[in-house]
Amino acid sequence: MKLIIKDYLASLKERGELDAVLPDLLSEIGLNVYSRPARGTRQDGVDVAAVGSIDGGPEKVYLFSIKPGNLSRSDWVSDSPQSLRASLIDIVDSYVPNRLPVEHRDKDIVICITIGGDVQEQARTLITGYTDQNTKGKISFEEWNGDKLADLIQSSFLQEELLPANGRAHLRKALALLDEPDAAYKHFAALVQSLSTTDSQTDTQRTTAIRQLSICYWILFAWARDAGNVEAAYRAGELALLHGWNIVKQYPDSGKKAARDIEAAFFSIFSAYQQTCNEFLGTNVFLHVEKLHGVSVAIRGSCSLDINLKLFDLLGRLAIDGLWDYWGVVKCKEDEKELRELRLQGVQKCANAIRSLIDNNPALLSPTKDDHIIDISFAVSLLLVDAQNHDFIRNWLGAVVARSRFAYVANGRYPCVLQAYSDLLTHPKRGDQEYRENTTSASVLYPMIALFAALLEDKDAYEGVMAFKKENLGHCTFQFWYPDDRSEVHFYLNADAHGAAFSDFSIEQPYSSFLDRVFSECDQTPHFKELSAVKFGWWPIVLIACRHYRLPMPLQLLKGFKSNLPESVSSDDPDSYDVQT
Amino acid sequence: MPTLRDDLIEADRNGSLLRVAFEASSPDRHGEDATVAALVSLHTEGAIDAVAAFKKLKNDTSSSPDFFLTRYLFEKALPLIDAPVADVLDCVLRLYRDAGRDLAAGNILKSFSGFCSRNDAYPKSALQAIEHDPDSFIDLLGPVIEAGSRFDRQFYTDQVIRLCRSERIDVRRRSVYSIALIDLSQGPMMSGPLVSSLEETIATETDDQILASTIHSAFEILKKDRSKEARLSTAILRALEKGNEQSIHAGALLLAFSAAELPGPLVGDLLRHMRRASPANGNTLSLIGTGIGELIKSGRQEEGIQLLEALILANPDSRITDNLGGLISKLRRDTALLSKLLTRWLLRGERPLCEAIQSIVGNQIGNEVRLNVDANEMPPAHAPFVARKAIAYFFLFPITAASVVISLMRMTNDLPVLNVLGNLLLNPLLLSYTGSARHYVQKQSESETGKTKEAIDAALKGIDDYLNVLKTIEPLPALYSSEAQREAYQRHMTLDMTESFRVAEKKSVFYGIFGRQTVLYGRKAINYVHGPNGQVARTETELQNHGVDMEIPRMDNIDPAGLDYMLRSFKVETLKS
Repeated sequence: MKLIIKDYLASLKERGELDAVLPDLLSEIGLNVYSRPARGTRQDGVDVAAVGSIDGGPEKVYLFSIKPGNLSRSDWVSDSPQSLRASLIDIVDSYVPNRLPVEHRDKDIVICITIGGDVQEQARTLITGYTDQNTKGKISFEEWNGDKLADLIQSSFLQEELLPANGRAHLRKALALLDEPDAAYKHFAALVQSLSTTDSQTDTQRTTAIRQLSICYWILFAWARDAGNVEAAYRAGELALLHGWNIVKQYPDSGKKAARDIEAAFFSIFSAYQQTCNEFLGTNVFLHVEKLHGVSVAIRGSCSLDINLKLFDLLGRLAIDGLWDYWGVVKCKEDEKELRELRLQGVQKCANAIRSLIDNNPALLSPTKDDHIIDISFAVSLLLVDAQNHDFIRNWLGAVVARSRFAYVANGRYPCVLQAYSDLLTHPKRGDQEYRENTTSASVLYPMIALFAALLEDKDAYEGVMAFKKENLGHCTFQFWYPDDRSEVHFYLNADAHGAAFSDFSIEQPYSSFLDRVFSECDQTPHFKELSAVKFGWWPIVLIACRHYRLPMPLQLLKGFKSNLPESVSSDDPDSYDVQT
Repeated sequence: MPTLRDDLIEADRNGSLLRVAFEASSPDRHGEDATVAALVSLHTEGAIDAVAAFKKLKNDTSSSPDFFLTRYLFEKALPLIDAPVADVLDCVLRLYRDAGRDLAAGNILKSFSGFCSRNDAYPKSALQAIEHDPDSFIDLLGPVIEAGSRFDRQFYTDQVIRLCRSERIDVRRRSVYSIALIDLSQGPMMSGPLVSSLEETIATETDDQILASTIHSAFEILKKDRSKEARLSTAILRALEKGNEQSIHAGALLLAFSAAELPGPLVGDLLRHMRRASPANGNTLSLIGTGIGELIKSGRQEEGIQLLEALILANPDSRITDNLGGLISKLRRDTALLSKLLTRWLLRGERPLCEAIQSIVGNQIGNEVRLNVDANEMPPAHAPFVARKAIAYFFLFPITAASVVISLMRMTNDLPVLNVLGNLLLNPLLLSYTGSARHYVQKQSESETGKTKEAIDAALKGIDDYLNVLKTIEPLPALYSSEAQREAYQRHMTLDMTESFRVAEKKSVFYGIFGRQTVLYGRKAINYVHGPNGQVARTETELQNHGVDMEIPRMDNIDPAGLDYMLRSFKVETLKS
């Protein structure tokens, strides 16, 4: 196990990775972390600062300067202000005299040279020389290399009492099977399941559980990235985030230490999730969306079904990534203009990628499964943010309706309610009207398209759905899905069915009436507002749950759009598209 | 040493005459002629009763020698012997009916006609017997009339006309057919009453078989008496108008084998009525196919094409071309005509015609036909329309489709039209087939010049650029389908292939001919062949691989719905006038 952890540590990169894991590790071994890494800020060479006693020794201040991977001579000393030697000089000359909190100034200070891997031989003598020379008074130096960190992780997070043998076995299997993402995910899911059974646990146990969740996920991600296949990590990340949320939501008051620790661990999961998304989309999607059929070909499917399923999956992932960015835009404070601009660019990048993905991969005009509307909804929701995308949405959804209807009439691969891959392989069964009606017995796809069409006042697409329903899909129950009173309990873990389907509406009416009818139902069901992720402003968690567990997007997320269609997103108009709670 | 005669006599005594005669007729024994001669002389001498013996012949291989070969001996002997008419009638009828629907079934009737011609009393007796018991003997009316008319034409003409008015429909059917058998070759022409009888029959009858017989008989008289051409042509036309499938079949027979002897206007009428042929009547269609082939050969190409088109359009959901016999292979060999049909029918754009040309071209995997359009059949401005039709209907045979598109390029210098054609060549053809079609287009480009070459090269550059961009994508394992999905797909494909193999095997002609062995290991099969004299020869048969390569269109994986939509759109597109 230690080798696994060492390997993981060695592969971590500084920004957002090793420095994100370290605070949890320090907390877990009993230190009080009083300074955490923040993007864009570095406090005179100190990445993380903590105070406390290790192994019963005297209380000391631990100042960590973090370097990823192995430490080479050039990492130690170079012209860069980021070199480790420069950081240590900053700590000794600036941080300790000027920025060390007053209450800790009487304590011994240990400056920890923290590296994910090992110190290389060429750098060893230089470091020893420097630390010997500067160890004086209250200041001393320690080397926290991968070996030591791995020991700490193993003895704190993953010790047998905390993480049972079967949990560690699941982790090992997940890592061993990263080339088979389905299998790796299943093992990781079993591990997550075992960690997140927190109902009867104490605060400390919950804190440990979420930290374990975080560290295990980080390990999985790091290994997956090294293996060049982060598919399992992507799905595992969604699951870890949802299970993490299910713990952190129980601690709304961040004033308490347990709440702070749990929140920190949750942020660590979130950070790993973001890294995974960036890695996945950066490697597999963004680079290739501009190429005609590029992503379709890269999927290397055995058949068109593989390509179709994966493309809609990617569409959903891209959209979720953009919606997280949009969430970030809305969350930015007045003085965070730079960050806000950065996130807006992220929104734009994802929206553009979605457009290109659809333009260059025409299978995205032909959903195979009715639940592909989940991914379509995310994509449309993101594209709706910018009025310049509206015509694109109209054309896309118009084509989806036309093609779906054509496929249905021609007995091609029309959208169906089947889920199993083996069933989809034999879909459709030609010449069997009963089969055709069974596999199109219900739909969220078409009413959602009608809804988007109505929102965009796209008469053609709306009437296209209307005609399709009237002439071909009389047997099909059109419906929308709304969260109910059980949703908060089951949304994040998918332990049981929840929510309510609304099918008592007609689309043979003007779309203004249709919109009123559909959205007025949002007011009838207050449960969406009661979802913790919505209440605490983390509404993209709801989308993650919808994507991961294949649930339709709650219409409340669209409701705000009804009354105020934006002209375009701009940094001056942060509320142009926000969740209506 | 016993002679053939001795053998036959002995066999007659012990009830094995038929078997012994059959064996004796073998070329390595006495041969047919000697056996027949022996049978005739023994019958004439009273040593055997050939009629009684052959009456026992049964079309049943378990208890009799080969039915048709044995009956053939009797067919040759019958016109040479004398016997009581009643016995002969019984025997001939039995041998005729036992032959079932075999094409050789009627041969015995000719022999019976020969028998009746031996003595003027024979047909008279036979006619009486037939009239006395038509249920049993009506099938034998024709040979009796034929033979009788050689003795007394007037009498038998009167008889057949009288019988044409019989109350019994089966008698009328045979009688009308027998009109054609009246011997008009001797003495002054006496066809008038026969023609009148046919006209009367056509006017009064509604039975399709009778009407078909009137067509047959009218033509037979026409061949012998051109002075009645107008009346007989009208009679045939009327019969066709009143008749249905059997009448059309009778007309098809004329078209197929006697068109040259028909009056010109009558051919036009026949062609008009052949359009009514039902796709269910394969034989009729095959005859019509032969007829069209004859028309084309005789310089009446347009009339043949029009009939072909009319038949195809009248039966849009039937693969008429599958039943047109040798016509299709004739069309495949006639490249000029094939180009004409291709161009004309694609330009018309009607689904049945386009599907028909697809079927006529008869592409085979690995051996695709290269086609050219006929520039005389279309204006260049319609080239994109024809190209879309060619792509839609020949999509599974991209070299054929590409050859049509390139031939369309040669027709025009109009840049916008060339651009459209070039784009069609690229998408969907080259985008779907980056192997064989691309290779073909590359080779073709080398032999083209001018704007055609430029348009082809632009399309080739388009596909090269596209493929080069795709080559820049490194393997992305995160996007691959899961192991479980791959396995499920393999299972699905295996089941599909097994089923299609099973179906194909059932259709194989070899399946019923040869035994089947499954060899599990090795590359050779060892067999021992047993010779006639007990010698055994060991043989080793090298096993051979047999396979067919087929390029699956890429777009069928990347965007099957889009491809389907595009091809169907091309198919349903109509030419704007």
